[in-house]
Amino acid sequence: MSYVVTGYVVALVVLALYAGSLVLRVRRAQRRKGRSES
Amino acid sequence: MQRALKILGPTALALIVLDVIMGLWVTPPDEVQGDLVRLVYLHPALAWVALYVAFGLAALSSILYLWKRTRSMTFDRLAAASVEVGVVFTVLTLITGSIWGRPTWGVWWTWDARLTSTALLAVLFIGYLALRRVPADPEVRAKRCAVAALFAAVDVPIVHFSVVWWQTLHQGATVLNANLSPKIHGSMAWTLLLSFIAFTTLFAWMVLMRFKLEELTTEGEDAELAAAIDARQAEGVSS
Repeated sequence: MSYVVTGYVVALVVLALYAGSLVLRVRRAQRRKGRSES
Repeated sequence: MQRALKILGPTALALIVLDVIMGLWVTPPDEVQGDLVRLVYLHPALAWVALYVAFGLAALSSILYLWKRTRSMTFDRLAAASVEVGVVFTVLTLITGSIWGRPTWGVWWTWDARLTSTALLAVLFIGYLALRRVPADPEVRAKRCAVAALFAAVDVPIVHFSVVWWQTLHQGATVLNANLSPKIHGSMAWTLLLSFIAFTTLFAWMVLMRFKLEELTTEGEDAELAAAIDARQAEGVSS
Protein backbone atom coordinates (compact mmCIF):
# COMPACT_ATOMS: atom_id res chain seq x y z
CA MET A 1 0.00 0.00 0.00
CA SER A 2 2.97 2.36 0.58
CA TYR A 3 3.70 2.39 -3.17
CA VAL A 4 0.06 3.29 -3.88
CA VAL A 5 0.04 6.14 -1.35
CA THR A 6 3.39 7.40 -2.69
CA GLY A 7 2.01 7.38 -6.24
CA TYR A 8 -1.11 9.33 -5.28
CA VAL A 9 0.79 11.83 -3.10
CA VAL A 10 3.44 12.53 -5.76
CA ALA A 11 0.89 12.96 -8.57
CA LEU A 12 -1.51 15.13 -6.59
CA VAL A 13 1.21 17.32 -5.08
CA VAL A 14 2.85 17.95 -8.48
CA LEU A 15 -0.52 18.76 -10.09
CA ALA A 16 -1.45 21.07 -7.20
CA LEU A 17 1.91 22.88 -7.43
CA TYR A 18 1.57 23.31 -11.19
CA ALA A 19 -2.04 24.54 -10.85
CA GLY A 20 -0.92 26.99 -8.15
CA SER A 21 1.92 28.24 -10.33
CA LEU A 22 -0.55 28.85 -13.19
CA VAL A 23 -2.83 30.91 -10.93
CA LEU A 24 0.11 33.00 -9.66
CA ARG A 25 1.57 33.53 -13.14
CA VAL A 26 -1.82 34.67 -14.50
CA ARG A 27 -2.25 37.13 -11.57
CA ARG A 28 1.26 38.50 -12.10
CA ALA A 29 0.63 38.91 -15.86
CA GLN A 30 -2.66 40.71 -15.15
CA ARG A 31 -0.90 43.11 -12.75
CA ARG A 32 1.91 43.70 -15.27
CA LYS A 33 -0.57 44.38 -18.07
CA GLY A 34 -2.54 46.76 -15.82
CA ARG A 35 0.64 48.68 -14.88
CA SER A 36 1.83 49.05 -18.48
CA GLU A 37 -1.60 50.23 -19.68
CA SER A 38 -2.03 52.87 -16.96
CA MET B 1 -13.28 31.89 -21.17
CA GLN B 2 -13.56 33.32 -17.64
CA ARG B 3 -16.88 31.50 -17.12
CA ALA B 4 -15.45 28.21 -18.39
CA LEU B 5 -12.50 28.57 -16.01
CA LYS B 6 -14.86 29.20 -13.07
CA ILE B 7 -16.81 26.02 -13.88
CA LEU B 8 -13.91 23.74 -14.88
CA GLY B 9 -11.65 24.42 -11.86
CA PRO B 10 -14.06 23.41 -9.05
CA THR B 11 -15.51 20.56 -11.20
CA ALA B 12 -12.04 19.09 -11.78
CA LEU B 13 -11.22 19.38 -8.08
CA ALA B 14 -14.47 17.66 -7.04
CA LEU B 15 -14.02 14.86 -9.60
CA ILE B 16 -10.41 14.22 -8.53
CA VAL B 17 -11.39 14.11 -4.84
CA LEU B 18 -14.14 11.60 -5.74
CA ASP B 19 -11.66 9.57 -7.83
CA VAL B 20 -9.18 9.41 -4.93
CA ILE B 21 -11.93 8.33 -2.48
CA MET B 22 -13.20 5.66 -4.91
CA GLY B 23 -9.70 4.52 -5.83
CA LEU B 24 -8.26 4.29 -2.33
CA TRP B 25 -11.25 3.24 -0.20
CA VAL B 26 -14.33 2.14 -2.16
CA THR B 27 -13.03 -0.19 -4.89
CA PRO B 28 -11.86 -3.69 -3.88
CA PRO B 29 -8.25 -4.91 -4.14
CA ASP B 30 -7.45 -6.97 -7.24
CA GLU B 31 -7.16 -10.76 -6.99
CA VAL B 32 -3.70 -10.75 -8.61
CA GLN B 33 -2.27 -7.26 -7.99
CA GLY B 34 -3.82 -6.65 -4.56
CA ASP B 35 -3.82 -2.97 -3.54
CA LEU B 36 -1.42 -2.02 -6.36
CA VAL B 37 -4.41 -2.00 -8.71
CA ARG B 38 -5.39 1.32 -7.08
CA LEU B 39 -2.66 3.00 -9.16
CA VAL B 40 -4.79 2.09 -12.19
CA TYR B 41 -7.16 4.91 -11.18
CA LEU B 42 -4.30 7.34 -11.67
CA HIS B 43 -1.63 6.20 -14.14
CA PRO B 44 -3.72 5.35 -17.28
CA ALA B 45 -5.75 8.57 -16.96
CA LEU B 46 -2.54 10.64 -16.75
CA ALA B 47 -1.20 8.80 -19.82
CA TRP B 48 -4.49 9.35 -21.70
CA VAL B 49 -4.38 13.09 -21.08
CA ALA B 50 -0.68 13.39 -21.93
CA LEU B 51 -0.56 11.29 -25.07
CA TYR B 52 -3.92 11.65 -26.73
CA VAL B 53 -5.55 14.81 -25.39
CA ALA B 54 -2.58 17.15 -24.85
CA PHE B 55 -0.30 16.16 -27.69
CA GLY B 56 -3.30 15.47 -29.96
CA LEU B 57 -4.51 19.03 -29.34
CA ALA B 58 -0.98 20.37 -29.85
CA ALA B 59 -0.66 18.52 -33.18
CA LEU B 60 -4.10 19.66 -34.36
CA SER B 61 -3.40 23.29 -33.38
CA SER B 62 -0.04 23.12 -35.17
CA ILE B 63 -1.66 21.80 -38.35
CA LEU B 64 -4.27 24.58 -38.18
CA TYR B 65 -1.48 27.15 -37.73
CA LEU B 66 0.57 25.82 -40.63
CA TRP B 67 -2.46 25.71 -42.95
CA LYS B 68 -2.63 29.19 -44.50
CA ARG B 69 -6.45 29.31 -44.48
CA THR B 70 -6.70 28.88 -40.73
CA ARG B 71 -3.41 30.50 -39.71
CA SER B 72 -3.83 32.39 -36.47
CA MET B 73 -1.64 33.08 -33.46
CA THR B 74 -4.47 31.63 -31.36
CA PHE B 75 -3.54 28.15 -32.59
CA ASP B 76 0.13 28.78 -31.81
CA ARG B 77 -0.77 29.80 -28.24
CA LEU B 78 -3.10 26.82 -27.88
CA ALA B 79 -0.34 24.43 -29.00
CA ALA B 80 2.13 26.03 -26.57
CA ALA B 81 -0.36 25.77 -23.69
CA SER B 82 -1.22 22.19 -24.54
CA VAL B 83 2.40 21.06 -24.77
CA GLU B 84 3.40 22.60 -21.44
CA VAL B 85 0.50 20.91 -19.61
CA GLY B 86 1.12 17.71 -21.59
CA VAL B 87 4.75 17.57 -20.44
CA VAL B 88 3.62 17.77 -16.79
CA PHE B 89 1.21 14.87 -17.37
CA THR B 90 3.84 12.84 -19.28
CA VAL B 91 6.39 13.20 -16.48
CA LEU B 92 3.72 12.13 -13.96
CA THR B 93 2.81 9.17 -16.19
CA LEU B 94 6.45 8.04 -16.09
CA ILE B 95 6.75 8.57 -12.31
CA THR B 96 3.50 6.76 -11.40
CA GLY B 97 4.34 3.96 -13.84
CA SER B 98 7.74 3.58 -12.20
CA ILE B 99 6.16 3.46 -8.72
CA TRP B 100 3.82 0.68 -9.96
CA GLY B 101 6.67 -1.13 -11.78
CA ARG B 102 8.97 -1.44 -8.75
CA PRO B 103 6.76 -3.86 -6.72
CA THR B 104 5.27 -5.52 -9.84
CA TRP B 105 8.30 -6.00 -12.11
CA GLY B 106 11.00 -5.64 -9.46
CA VAL B 107 12.61 -2.62 -11.15
CA TRP B 108 12.00 1.14 -11.14
CA TRP B 109 12.88 1.39 -14.81
CA THR B 110 13.49 -0.92 -17.76
CA TRP B 111 14.24 -0.08 -21.40
CA ASP B 112 10.90 -1.52 -22.48
CA ALA B 113 9.46 -0.21 -25.79
CA ARG B 114 6.45 1.52 -24.11
CA LEU B 115 8.53 3.15 -21.39
CA THR B 116 11.34 4.20 -23.72
CA SER B 117 9.02 5.68 -26.37
CA THR B 118 7.11 7.58 -23.65
CA ALA B 119 10.36 8.97 -22.21
CA LEU B 120 11.39 9.98 -25.73
CA LEU B 121 8.04 11.77 -26.13
CA ALA B 122 8.70 13.75 -22.94
CA VAL B 123 12.17 14.72 -24.19
CA LEU B 124 10.81 15.77 -27.61
CA PHE B 125 8.15 18.02 -26.12
CA ILE B 126 10.58 19.49 -23.58
CA GLY B 127 12.66 20.32 -26.67
CA TYR B 128 9.57 22.05 -28.11
CA LEU B 129 9.29 24.17 -24.97
CA ALA B 130 13.00 25.04 -25.22
CA LEU B 131 12.52 26.01 -28.88
CA ARG B 132 9.74 28.43 -27.86
CA ARG B 133 12.21 30.29 -25.65
CA VAL B 134 14.66 30.89 -28.50
CA PRO B 135 14.31 34.62 -29.37
CA ALA B 136 12.70 35.11 -32.78
CA ASP B 137 9.99 37.00 -34.60
CA PRO B 138 6.62 35.67 -33.25
CA GLU B 139 5.53 34.33 -36.63
CA VAL B 140 8.86 32.65 -37.33
CA ARG B 141 8.79 31.09 -33.87
CA ALA B 142 5.19 29.92 -34.35
CA LYS B 143 5.99 28.24 -37.66
CA ARG B 144 9.17 26.65 -36.32
CA CYS B 145 7.35 25.33 -33.23
CA ALA B 146 4.39 23.99 -35.24
CA VAL B 147 6.77 21.91 -37.36
CA ALA B 148 8.57 20.70 -34.21
CA ALA B 149 5.25 19.72 -32.57
CA LEU B 150 4.24 17.68 -35.61
CA PHE B 151 7.64 16.00 -35.68
CA ALA B 152 7.34 15.11 -31.96
CA ALA B 153 3.73 13.93 -32.37
CA VAL B 154 4.93 11.14 -34.70
CA ASP B 155 6.03 9.39 -31.50
CA VAL B 156 2.42 9.25 -30.15
CA PRO B 157 1.26 6.33 -32.38
CA ILE B 158 4.61 4.63 -31.71
CA VAL B 159 3.89 4.81 -27.96
CA HIS B 160 0.34 3.54 -28.51
CA PHE B 161 1.27 0.56 -30.69
CA SER B 162 4.56 -0.24 -28.91
CA VAL B 163 2.84 -2.98 -26.88
CA VAL B 164 1.56 -4.54 -30.13
CA TRP B 165 4.65 -4.10 -32.32
CA TRP B 166 7.21 -5.28 -29.77
CA GLN B 167 7.29 -7.81 -26.94
CA THR B 168 7.04 -5.59 -23.92
CA LEU B 169 6.91 -5.94 -20.18
CA HIS B 170 4.15 -3.33 -20.16
CA GLN B 171 0.72 -4.92 -20.51
CA GLY B 172 -1.58 -4.29 -23.47
CA ALA B 173 -4.65 -2.07 -23.46
CA THR B 174 -7.25 -2.83 -20.78
CA VAL B 175 -10.16 -0.93 -22.33
CA LEU B 176 -9.18 0.17 -25.84
CA ASN B 177 -7.94 -3.26 -26.94
CA ALA B 178 -8.34 -4.78 -30.41
CA ASN B 179 -11.67 -6.48 -29.54
CA LEU B 180 -12.96 -3.43 -27.65
CA SER B 181 -13.88 -5.77 -24.79
CA PRO B 182 -12.82 -4.17 -21.47
CA LYS B 183 -10.90 -6.44 -19.08
CA ILE B 184 -12.16 -4.50 -16.07
CA HIS B 185 -15.67 -4.51 -14.59
CA GLY B 186 -18.00 -3.18 -11.88
CA SER B 187 -16.88 -0.42 -9.50
CA MET B 188 -13.31 -0.78 -10.80
CA ALA B 189 -14.43 0.03 -14.36
CA TRP B 190 -16.54 2.99 -13.19
CA THR B 191 -13.69 4.39 -11.12
CA LEU B 192 -11.33 4.01 -14.08
CA LEU B 193 -13.83 5.92 -16.24
CA LEU B 194 -14.19 8.57 -13.52
CA SER B 195 -10.40 9.03 -13.42
CA PHE B 196 -10.35 9.66 -17.19
CA ILE B 197 -13.11 12.28 -16.90
CA ALA B 198 -11.54 13.92 -13.82
CA PHE B 199 -8.05 14.33 -15.29
CA THR B 200 -9.40 15.42 -18.69
CA THR B 201 -11.41 18.15 -16.92
CA LEU B 202 -8.32 19.20 -15.00
CA PHE B 203 -6.37 19.31 -18.27
CA ALA B 204 -9.05 21.55 -19.83
CA TRP B 205 -8.80 23.99 -16.90
CA MET B 206 -4.99 23.98 -17.01
CA VAL B 207 -4.85 24.56 -20.77
CA LEU B 208 -7.29 27.46 -20.57
CA MET B 209 -5.28 29.01 -17.74
CA ARG B 210 -2.03 28.56 -19.67
CA PHE B 211 -3.65 29.96 -22.81
CA LYS B 212 -4.87 32.99 -20.86
CA LEU B 213 -1.36 33.48 -19.48
CA GLU B 214 0.08 33.37 -23.01
CA GLU B 215 -2.44 36.02 -24.16
CA LEU B 216 -1.84 38.27 -21.15
CA THR B 217 1.94 38.04 -21.61
CA THR B 218 1.70 38.99 -25.29
CA GLU B 219 -0.71 41.86 -24.57
CA GLY B 220 1.51 43.06 -21.70
CA GLU B 221 4.61 43.00 -23.91
CA ASP B 222 2.75 44.89 -26.66
CA ALA B 223 1.56 47.52 -24.16
CA GLU B 224 5.10 47.90 -22.77
CA LEU B 225 6.50 48.27 -26.27
CA ALA B 226 3.88 50.90 -27.14
CA ALA B 227 4.68 52.79 -23.90
CA ALA B 228 8.42 52.66 -24.67
CA ILE B 229 7.84 54.02 -28.21
CA ASP B 230 5.65 56.83 -26.83
CA ALA B 231 8.32 57.73 -24.26
CA ARG B 232 11.01 57.75 -26.95
CA GLN B 233 8.89 59.95 -29.23
CA ALA B 234 8.21 62.32 -26.34
CA GLU B 235 11.96 62.55 -25.72
CA GLY B 236 12.49 63.42 -29.40
CA VAL B 237 9.88 66.21 -29.27
CA SER B 238 11.30 67.78 -26.09
CA SER B 239 14.95 67.76 -27.27
